[in-house]
Amino acid sequence: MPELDVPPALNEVEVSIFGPGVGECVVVHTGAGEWLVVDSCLDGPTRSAEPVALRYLRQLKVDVATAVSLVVITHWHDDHDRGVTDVFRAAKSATVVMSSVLCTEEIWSLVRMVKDRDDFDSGVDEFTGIFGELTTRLPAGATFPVGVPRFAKAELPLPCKNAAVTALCPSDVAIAKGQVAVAERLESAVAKGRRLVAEDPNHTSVVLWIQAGSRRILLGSDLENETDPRNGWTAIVNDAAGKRNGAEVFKVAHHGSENGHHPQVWSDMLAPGATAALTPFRRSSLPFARDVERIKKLTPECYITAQKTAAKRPPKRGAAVDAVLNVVTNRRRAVRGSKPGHVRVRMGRDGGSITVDLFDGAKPL
Amino acid sequence: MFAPPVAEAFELLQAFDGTVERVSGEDISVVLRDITDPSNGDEEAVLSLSQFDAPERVAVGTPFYLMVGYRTPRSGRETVTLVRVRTIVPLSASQRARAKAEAKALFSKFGPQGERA
Repeated sequence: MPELDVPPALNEVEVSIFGPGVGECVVVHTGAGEWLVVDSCLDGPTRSAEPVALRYLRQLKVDVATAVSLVVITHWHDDHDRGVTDVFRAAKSATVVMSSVLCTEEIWSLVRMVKDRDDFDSGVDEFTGIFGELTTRLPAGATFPVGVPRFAKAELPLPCKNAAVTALCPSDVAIAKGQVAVAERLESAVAKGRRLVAEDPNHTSVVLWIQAGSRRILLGSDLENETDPRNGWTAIVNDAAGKRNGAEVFKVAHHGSENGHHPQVWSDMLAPGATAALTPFRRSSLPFARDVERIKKLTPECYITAQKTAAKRPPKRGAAVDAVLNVVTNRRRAVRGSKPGHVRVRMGRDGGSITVDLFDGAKPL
Repeated sequence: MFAPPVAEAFELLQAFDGTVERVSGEDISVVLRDITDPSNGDEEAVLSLSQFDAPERVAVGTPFYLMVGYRTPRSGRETVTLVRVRTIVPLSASQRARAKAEAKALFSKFGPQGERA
């Protein structure tokens, strides 16, 4: 029985993938005690639950303040950013990375407009929290890379001691389109008194390529295919041709959806039989059965962090209330499950076999 | 105790703070936050457009209250559900100006830094 609270050896690489539902988080040990946190989800059903990355790293007795060198928010959807401010606050040595799509004065201005307005219940809480934390760090004399955010775009190397970490997207075209879309969404919310709902597409997600020792890892975020070949996975596979291949671990993009699948990722960028892991997305019931079959044909080593059909019954509130709610609502269900599942992949930095351990409901696909 | 504004005698049993997430014809996908017992997690549900008191104002991002309670007309007590579209007070010109100034200062500190790498 694998132990969950035993940290990886100093010469081991670990990729831990947590999910499900509206939450996904990847924690990577690059070697020698250095960790990266990519996205964030919560460890319980309420908004006050602890971020799963912090719970896990503390369970391993990792000193989060010094051991985490990167905190990456791949895109601004609440299934990827819940609790990331708490992670960044704890990771005092970390550089925070977010998509370049968020890097305009206009967007920051609109975010500032809604940040103190609880009635907007805005999806910008984590964004403003990150900048609040950055502001507290800067006067302490922090210099680059600590204290200064990095805005990821295609081919941007990210600061990391024991691994080469490169953002593979978004492309310049995706950034330009995304900045317009985000600004319009924010402006509309502010002008019309509506809340911010994440409805922009995933084409501005940050995909990461990590090389730690001889190990290569591809973290696919939620990136999807686009009709414009300058965007999405087509842009990445074209850029990667001949220089990025042989990844042995793949965080499958966009919960295994058909639109997150690009055959050349598997043929050109991944090693044959690569270990693939994904999280379900229950709002859309991803992955569908056809997605599961497709992935299983591509690799025998495929895992999912949780049953996508796991029960998420809403709490009982008394007979009168429950009776009425059952009449007036359809398909009512809890947004968050109680505890995310966990796929843990460990391997030596310089070769050897790959070990996969499954916890908290994770299972082979 | 939270008490959403209701014009008539109404004994509140349960209140949610809701947000419209998707609009698909008559089907309105929403996220509900329990404000009667905040220890409960958020829920997703689908409401019918006709249940909203101001269906013409329903769009992605529209905030609303969903309330369940007893109404007591002369004929006796009945359990009812109200779905009230909320109005968020727009920002004033001075609030917007202040936010822009703050953003400008932030941007100068933390803006694009690729050349500094």
